[in-house]
Amino acid sequence: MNIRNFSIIAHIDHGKSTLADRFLEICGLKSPLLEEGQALDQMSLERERGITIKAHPVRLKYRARNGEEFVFNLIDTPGHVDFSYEVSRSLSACEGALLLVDATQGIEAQTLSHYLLAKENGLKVIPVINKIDLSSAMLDEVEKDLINLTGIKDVSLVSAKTGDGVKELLERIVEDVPPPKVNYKKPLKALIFDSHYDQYKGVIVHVRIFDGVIRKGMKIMLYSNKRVFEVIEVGVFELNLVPKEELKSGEVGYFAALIRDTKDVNVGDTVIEADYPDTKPLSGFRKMKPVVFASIFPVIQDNYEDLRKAMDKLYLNDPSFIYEPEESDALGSGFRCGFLGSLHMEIIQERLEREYGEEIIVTYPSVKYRAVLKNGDEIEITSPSKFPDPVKIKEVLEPIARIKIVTPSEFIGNVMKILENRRGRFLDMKYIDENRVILVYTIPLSKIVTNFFDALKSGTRGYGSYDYEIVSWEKGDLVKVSVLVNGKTVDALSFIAYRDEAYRKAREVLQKMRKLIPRQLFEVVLQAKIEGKIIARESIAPLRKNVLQKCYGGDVTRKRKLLEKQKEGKKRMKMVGRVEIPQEAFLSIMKIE
Amino acid sequence: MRSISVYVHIPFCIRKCNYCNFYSIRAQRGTIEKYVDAIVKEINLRKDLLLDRKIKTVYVGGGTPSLLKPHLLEKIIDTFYRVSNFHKNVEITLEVNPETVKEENFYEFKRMGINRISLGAQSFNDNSLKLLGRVHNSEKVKESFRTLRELNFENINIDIIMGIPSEDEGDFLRTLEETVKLNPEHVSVYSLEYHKDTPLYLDAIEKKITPISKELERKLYIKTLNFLNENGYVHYEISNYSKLGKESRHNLNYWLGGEYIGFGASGVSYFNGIWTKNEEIYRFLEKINRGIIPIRRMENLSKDKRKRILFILNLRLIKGVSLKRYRLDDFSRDFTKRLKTLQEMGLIIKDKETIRLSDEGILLSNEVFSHLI
Repeated sequence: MNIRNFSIIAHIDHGKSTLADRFLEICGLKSPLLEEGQALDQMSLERERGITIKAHPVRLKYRARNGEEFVFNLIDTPGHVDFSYEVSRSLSACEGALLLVDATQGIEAQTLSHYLLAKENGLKVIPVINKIDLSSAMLDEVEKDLINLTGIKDVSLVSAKTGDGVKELLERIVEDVPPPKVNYKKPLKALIFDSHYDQYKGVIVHVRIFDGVIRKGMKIMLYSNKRVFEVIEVGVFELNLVPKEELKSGEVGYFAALIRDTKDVNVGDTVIEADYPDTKPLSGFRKMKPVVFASIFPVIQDNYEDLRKAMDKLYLNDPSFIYEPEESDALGSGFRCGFLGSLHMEIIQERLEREYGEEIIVTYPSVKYRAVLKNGDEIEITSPSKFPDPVKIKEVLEPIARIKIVTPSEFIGNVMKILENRRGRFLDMKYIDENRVILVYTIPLSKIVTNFFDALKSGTRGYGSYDYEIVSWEKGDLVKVSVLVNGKTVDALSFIAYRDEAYRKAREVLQKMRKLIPRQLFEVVLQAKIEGKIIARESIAPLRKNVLQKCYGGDVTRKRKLLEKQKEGKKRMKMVGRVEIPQEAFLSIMKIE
Repeated sequence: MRSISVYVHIPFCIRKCNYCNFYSIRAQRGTIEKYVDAIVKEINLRKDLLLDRKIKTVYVGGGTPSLLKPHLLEKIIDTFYRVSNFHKNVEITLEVNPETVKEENFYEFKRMGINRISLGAQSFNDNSLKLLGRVHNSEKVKESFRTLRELNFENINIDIIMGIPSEDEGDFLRTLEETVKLNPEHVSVYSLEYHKDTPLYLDAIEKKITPISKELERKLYIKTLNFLNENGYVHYEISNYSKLGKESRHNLNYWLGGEYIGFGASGVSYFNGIWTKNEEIYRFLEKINRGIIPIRRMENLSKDKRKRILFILNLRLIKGVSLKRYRLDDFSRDFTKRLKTLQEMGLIIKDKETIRLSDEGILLSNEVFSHLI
């Protein structure tokens, strides 16, 4: 079998999914989805946002001009900064990568990072410029940049939309991307690069077979946890899953083994044969660690069980998000959740709301801090409620990210201002070409988890892009700001802030809440507290009169419905003591810079 | 013999008031006659509900039922006589728009047994009456009241509206004073409400008028209470005041959870633990003509829900709910827990025999009820 395993590296909107669709079409795989475009982006959320969240592979049969038939495994990669690890694992399942760049946009920060990942993984890279049919295409410049970046002189030019150059590109894949090294004789060694859940078959594990063969009935072992399962099905990805007898060295496909717990299946892990437990694993595996934390509560406490079920289901398809039960005085039972980044958090939130119909409150996101205590202990702080008593703290360490931003040079000033306002420290600036620069800064991670993406986009008219990695932990002058409602601390409204920003933030939060909390039967006092001292206060005057009128002709139903509506409205609010707080008040804190 | 109340709905008006969101149509020749015939048919269709019952109150409401020619109203009253029995002290109320008061008609009304009048004065301020879109002025209110007295109507209610925009505290006090001067047996005071899709609501949205503040509303409510008290009226329900023994017996029946049958378009009934509501006028007429009972919806609520509703209705009475009538042990734990919370908040008062709204609870009664429902 002639196999070519490759993926496409591209920035959001640069046309990756359209190009993939074109490949499918040429290779005779059509789907009804093609009518709407972008067969590989299955989730509606993905289609709406125009981004691919989950890597989604497809196997194509391509008859080359020389008459030979090739099997192409196209491994689609996620296109966002939060999913770098998944990207890197997807890439290591391939021998080649198309570096796809929009002719009207040029190279973006993430494309750059992913390109470097591809190089690290030893992939053969083919530079490709897309959207050459557009009048605003800057062909020469983008081509020059790509040559500068990759050192590869031959840049493919395509229009995924019209199909121009796409066949030539497929030929080039045959020529340039090396076939996988195969070794059928060795014991099984396969890389897990993704998974999804099937109600009947358990976890469907997406694998690239490096050595050996996997077939039905075989006992396999997941290297990182040594768990053993019996394979019940193997197969390949077309538009649907297609079962096969076996998958051999060099192939990409899936297997199912009645694995019920998704936690067992980790992206980057190695699958080996249970009979050969000493097989050396593939390198580079690490457990994905969440960096952003927030709590999720059901709006109506009665729906807690529902929410738990929705989370369990969601987790089956996205084990990179973690959750554990949490009890809040104010919000009742909910979950403390960890995400790969702020976009990942938004995606989970939206999926819970849209796919599962859950009404939820998401609290202010926080990064993970470390507190070194005076007694020498070190603890992790993933939630303001875990912030230790200030008198016990020796120092608090916060994660620092190195952030790379690519922007047209006219916006350098704006970008620098955004970064400096967020305590960024300048490291480096490089021109990619006359018009575009890469800015490199270090910045506290906490400063890029809320509203940063929006700020960057508006500061660069949508042209700026960024990528980051956590590089160190540094001491920070951090305090916990508690918010009290009628004397009661509402943990869900508390947050961790720099001491010199805490006062302003606290005031803004209280002012916003004051506007959002409706009048109650009594006065409501809002306070913010740092280290035992009240630093801000607002109050909401009590409700003065609410009398329902006569009952016209004994129409009790009419009145009952009015009262029930009012009661329903109250149910949507969270009770803190006796104070009813609407959802929006909890969200208001999110908007504070 | 068990007693029952009946309500008759007459959905016709001379013109619709600016604040009214009730279904009513302009009075047209012939339509009213057809409608009255339909009501007579309905009473006959549903007469088994009245069989073996004593009618203790009749309330003819609207709309503007005083638009009816006397012989038409008599047809309705007669039908009740024919299919059922009247209590010897039956209270028969007619809702009256002051503009419709003509001596000869009301002489007839009196003769056929109408013994209580509810007069929709709404205000004694002519600007306010205009703003509300009423067809009468304040002079007409006084004149019609005198006419009613001359005809020996001895049980008259006056409806007034509180919180009309453009009125200040003094304006409203004058309306109260004028009301008391007439010395009616009963006064109902309702706050002006802005119902969606009414001209008044639209004016408020377009900021042509400014609804009064909740603060002023509260003040006016307390003023009303004190003023009417000083003038010999007992506050017996959230919006209702009367001289001793002159409470509206028909409305008391609603609040005490008694049974009633509502006839006519959109008429509401409570019978055998079930609330029903009639069709609106056109479907009402159509169903009646086909000989079908014109019920649009029926509500068979859970026992718990029903008890809560009856409890809430009863709580509207200032003297409160008798714990002999409603044993707290019969209610769910959720309900008694809620009662307790309200008690702790000082909105309701519980003693050995009753549970009632506190003064603050009256002002916030809607909050109390929505908590309990």
